[in-house]
Amino acid sequence: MALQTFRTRDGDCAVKPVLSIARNFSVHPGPRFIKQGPWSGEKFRKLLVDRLAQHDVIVVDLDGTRGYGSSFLDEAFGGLVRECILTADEVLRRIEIRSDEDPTYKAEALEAIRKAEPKH
Amino acid sequence: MSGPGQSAPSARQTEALVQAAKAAAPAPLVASLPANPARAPAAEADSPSLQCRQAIVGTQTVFLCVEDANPLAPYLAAVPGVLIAALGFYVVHRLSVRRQRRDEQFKMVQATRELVTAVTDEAGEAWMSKRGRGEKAQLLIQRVGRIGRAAQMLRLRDARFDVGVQVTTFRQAVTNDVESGTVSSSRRAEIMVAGADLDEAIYRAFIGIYG
Repeated sequence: MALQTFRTRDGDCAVKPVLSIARNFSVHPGPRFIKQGPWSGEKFRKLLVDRLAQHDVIVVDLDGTRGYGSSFLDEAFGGLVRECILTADEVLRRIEIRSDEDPTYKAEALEAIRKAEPKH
Repeated sequence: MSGPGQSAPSARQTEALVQAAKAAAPAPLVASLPANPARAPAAEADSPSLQCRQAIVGTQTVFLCVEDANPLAPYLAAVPGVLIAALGFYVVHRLSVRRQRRDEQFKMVQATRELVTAVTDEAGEAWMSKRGRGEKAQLLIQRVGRIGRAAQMLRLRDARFDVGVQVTTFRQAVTNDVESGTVSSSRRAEIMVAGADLDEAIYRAFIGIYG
């Protein structure tokens, strides 16, 4: 996982870990669940949870892949809320999504986080 | 060249006066004889470049007037023509650039719309059949990804090309749980509507920008 240097509001330098799906996961993100095929959203969510245990804030870079299915994005990001791993506010605070090649992926992932409701 | 109330000087006297004025004037100055000598002092007041001197030749009072010639005068005459030519060149250049941009944009728009149509058809078929859904799903995801990137390229060229909402709706219709293998005619209809909306949005954005 790469590190990205950035400047805080106070003007200090800080470092954010960047989790690139293309480099650290797969350039062919797959279906929603692990049982449905390789490189699923569920599998990525587990990797993300693992990284969140090590870092407070993570940048998730969506660029560089062949494309995402809506179910992958929903399971990877909305699944964090549904599975009661984090609240929606915590997800939005701790995960910074970057998608310059196609900003609609970022919008869709953020929508998935906001709309997700914890399972009871 | 005689003063008011005086008789006109002879041709020889006039010639002598002109020669004297030329000799007295600095290099850039040109001697001129006012058409109406009686108005010479008034002309001096009107034009700062016109300098007159009073002289007495024999029994006659004359005004010798010299005008300061502008060395840029021959070039100034050409300025309006040059400005019009430069403006014409600029307008032609701008129109040419606009036409070239329009052609490039048109090709991208055409390619994107064709891709939308193709994906709409393929996705509709995929959602109506369980067979080979896994491979089809991956292909559809990649092709919808290409549509999203093409839309972003169009938006980067012109910010008014904003079809992000339609791209997201289309992607959700095509790819959301496509790998589940569920056969759904209602989803097929949803894909057709979303594809048509996206196609129309791209077309309308292009027409809105380039007319």
